[in-house]
Amino acid sequence: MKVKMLSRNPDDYVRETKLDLQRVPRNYDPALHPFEVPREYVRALNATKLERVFAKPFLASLDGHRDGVNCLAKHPKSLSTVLSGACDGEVKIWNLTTRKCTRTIQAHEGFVRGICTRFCGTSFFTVGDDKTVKQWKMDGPGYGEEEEPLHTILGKTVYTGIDHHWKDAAFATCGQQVDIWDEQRTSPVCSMTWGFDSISSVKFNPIETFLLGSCASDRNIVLYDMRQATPLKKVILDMRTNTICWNPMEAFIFTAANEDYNLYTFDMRALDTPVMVHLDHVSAVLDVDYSPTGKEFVSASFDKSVRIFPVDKSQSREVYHTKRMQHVICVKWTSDSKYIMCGSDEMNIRLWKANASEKLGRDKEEDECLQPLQMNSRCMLHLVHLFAYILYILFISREMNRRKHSKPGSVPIVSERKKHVLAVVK
Amino acid sequence: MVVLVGEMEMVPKPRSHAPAKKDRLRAKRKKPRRYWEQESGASPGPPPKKRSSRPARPRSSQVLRRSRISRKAQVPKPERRKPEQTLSGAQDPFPGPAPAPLEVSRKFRRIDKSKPLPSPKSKTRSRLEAAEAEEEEASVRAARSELLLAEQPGFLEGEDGEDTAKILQADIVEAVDIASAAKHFDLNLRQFGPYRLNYSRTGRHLALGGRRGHVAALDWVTKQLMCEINVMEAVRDIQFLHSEALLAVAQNRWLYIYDNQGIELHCVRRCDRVTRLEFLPFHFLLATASETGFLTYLDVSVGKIVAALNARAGRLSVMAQNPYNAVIHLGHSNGTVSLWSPAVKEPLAKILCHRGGIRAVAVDSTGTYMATSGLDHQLKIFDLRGTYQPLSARTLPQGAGHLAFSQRGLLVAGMGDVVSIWKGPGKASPPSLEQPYLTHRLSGHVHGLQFCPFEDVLGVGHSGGITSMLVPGAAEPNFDGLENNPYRSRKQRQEWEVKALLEKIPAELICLDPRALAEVDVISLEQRKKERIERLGYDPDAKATFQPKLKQKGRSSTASLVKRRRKVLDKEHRDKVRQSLEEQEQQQQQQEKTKPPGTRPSALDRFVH
Repeated sequence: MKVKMLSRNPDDYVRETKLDLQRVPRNYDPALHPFEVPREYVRALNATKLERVFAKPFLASLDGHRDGVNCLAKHPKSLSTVLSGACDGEVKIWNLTTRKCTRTIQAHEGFVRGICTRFCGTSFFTVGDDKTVKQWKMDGPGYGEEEEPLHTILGKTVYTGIDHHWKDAAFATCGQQVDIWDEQRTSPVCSMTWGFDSISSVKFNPIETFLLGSCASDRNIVLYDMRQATPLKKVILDMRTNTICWNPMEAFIFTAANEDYNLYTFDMRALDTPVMVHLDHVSAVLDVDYSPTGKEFVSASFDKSVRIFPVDKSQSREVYHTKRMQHVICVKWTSDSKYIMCGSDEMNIRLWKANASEKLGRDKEEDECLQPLQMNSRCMLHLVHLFAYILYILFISREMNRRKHSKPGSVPIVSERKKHVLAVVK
Repeated sequence: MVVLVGEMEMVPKPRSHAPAKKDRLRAKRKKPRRYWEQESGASPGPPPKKRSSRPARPRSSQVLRRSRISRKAQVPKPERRKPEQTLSGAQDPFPGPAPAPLEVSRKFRRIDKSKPLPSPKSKTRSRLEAAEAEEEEASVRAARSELLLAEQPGFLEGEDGEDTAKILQADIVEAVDIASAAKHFDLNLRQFGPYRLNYSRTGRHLALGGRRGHVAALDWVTKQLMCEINVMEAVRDIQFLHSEALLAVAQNRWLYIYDNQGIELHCVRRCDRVTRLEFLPFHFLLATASETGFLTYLDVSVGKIVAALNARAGRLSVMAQNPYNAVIHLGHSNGTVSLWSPAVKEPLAKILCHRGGIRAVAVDSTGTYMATSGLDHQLKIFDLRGTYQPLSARTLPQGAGHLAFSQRGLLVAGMGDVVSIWKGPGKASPPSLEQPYLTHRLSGHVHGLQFCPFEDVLGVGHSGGITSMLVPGAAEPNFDGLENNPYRSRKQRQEWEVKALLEKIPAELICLDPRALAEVDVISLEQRKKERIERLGYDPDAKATFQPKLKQKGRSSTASLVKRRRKVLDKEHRDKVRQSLEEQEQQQQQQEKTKPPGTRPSALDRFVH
């Protein structure tokens, strides 16, 4: 007779001293882990619920401006520094760690229309309603010195936006035309126009640094190459585009914030159909900014809300709003991709988490319950998107009714992506 | 290896002279040598162990590689892996990932690869392919981790010609080590018997309930008594809840819940005259079968009755749970076994098993086999994988009154005062009923049976008390510390309890196939698509009608456009017709196949279609 009994030595399974960790032997045999699918389902459902429970995205409000915040800029080198320009011509520099204003400049008379930092982080540029472009030092003046700009350029027309080149000492302004400036000169190196309307914003491409895009109030988005004197091509949409933002990881992708409540992500190689139409806002979209990962972007809207969209989704992942936040005019995603800043009409800059349920600081130790895959449970999505959804359904049903009561074939079925692009001109 | 090098010498040198010169120059320059680098270049690391699964590498190969001949032969060889050079010069004796046995990795497969994937261009296909690759990788890794399992299962083998069924418990106790021998014991409790018993899910604790009201719970490994009470009422069944701290006792009138000190916590009056108890640990449901014919599910985490199902089959006294899908099997006096889920008012299935009433039912831990015994003295094993057909049957002289499966698929039957255990040839095979593996005679009639989880022990409750039998090879040797840890501390138990409660599966999800939740719900998907088409007024996913592209040089005249469109439409039409013809042909062939071959053609056949 040969016999062997299962006989475990408890020393192999129990820790030796109280200072040791508990021993947890594992066996991944599926027979010992029954109900894999239902348990994973319950776990995912719990994680989604807990994520909503712990979603406390609002971090701080930076107050101090005496008029609506019109523009924001990130510091290229310092994560804790942010610059803001207000409608009364005041520029403030903020320290985000202390959440205090470190410096205030009366930069312009009238609005500060645009603000941008130099790539090295030593100075920044502002444009205002007083037809001037001013360059300022990032550090404050010494004791007894007066607050003065490094350079001031007096222009003929009002400038409505400014952006700095990502590598060279050049910047671009827009207004009646797009001007490319050398930092050392007081007159533009070249100015480009296409049509006769006022241009609301201009943005340099962060990868292909000679490319820039602008949007004008005659409903078009124009792309330029800095190295040649004429614009590249333009696309005309249904309604006016307020601003555009380039994807920092994909050189040819940009997103346009439009007056018709939508955002359009375009591939600049094929402008005739947008890659994606982002639908959720219920009023004009005023500003858009990409996350440094290039996977998501944030949009600010006249409907008093900020929304976060994945690049490849037509619906937003998150919507941020508070009772007191009015029309959001400008928005920025910080360079560590963790926070979102938005400046709004009622003179405040608000700081939000990019990931609403993320834990910060001391209580960062992740709860294991939140770890497994998280589902988009349908009911929650519906709550978030309810209002946008109702608008969309109303819109659809209107079109359906029209189709129903017209001659068959006279109201063609056009996909949402193709509907809004009127023409592409080269 | 030597042959290879010889071949390379004969191959004319493919490279020009200049790099060869460079090589020579480099060879002249002496490389700085560290003190730990040895002259010969042989590795000072551990000598390579030999393994049967891996071809052993000759030691001389390393020397050869360093020699001039092999340095010259710079032809890339994909099949030979170059060992990584480390700072110390030691080489990995087992380069590359550890081999994973294919049969083991099959155990961890979750995706059915026989299903066809959608068309190659679709987005879903690429996603599915990625998921499949990931799944394969995971299963290989899991199979590789089998190496780390510490324990081997037990066994009992007779010498040639010796029948293991003849081996007495006393012989086994004599042959095994002291720790195992201590697991065999008898509790002589003649006064309050016969006894029902239940092991906790970790296998550490034992609860026993005598017919005449004796209820006790003990840590049977250390023989430490947790509580002992007399409830002064008949005890029908006893069952641990999710942990050893709670104990459900089916008494004469109502169901009671005690804690591990014997304090009565609840009296559940909605479950009356309960005969059998089953606890579904992942759903936190206590299923009770009663004399009144009701199957009642009690959610023990919130204390609510989830479902009370009327089986409409008279008194219920035979019940078993399927641990694989949490379906309750009820045995009835008309010879049927019915399968129940709390989500459905009717039985999920009814199986006619015996010609007389059912006496006992048991389902194995993988949910593949069901053993039943009836009043017709038969013991049958059924396949539960869709067919519900009997695999094997055997007539027993007395008929089995109690049945139980062990974790490794051993089947035990209690017949009068004898228990017999049958064993299958492999782990996943059904027990073969020809020859018993072990038998044992007790001092009283069997009243309750259960294999202890994670121990080679069978607990038998009988009219003379409790017997703990040694059954080598019954239990799963390697437990998972996060599921059921027999050695867990109090803190670990508390943590596990919280997590288990968070992961409580809703009762509505109990169905025959527990993986059904992961399948695509085709019916509701189609329904939703239909609704969407109705709402929109057109099908958004439909293929757009062909629009001919505009061509230059006058080839885009209206006539040519129409012609091109016509061409495409015609082709589509032809394809459609061809496809439908093929389908018809297939149908005809199938019909011919299904026709019985012996029938003679009749003149009336032409009218049949």
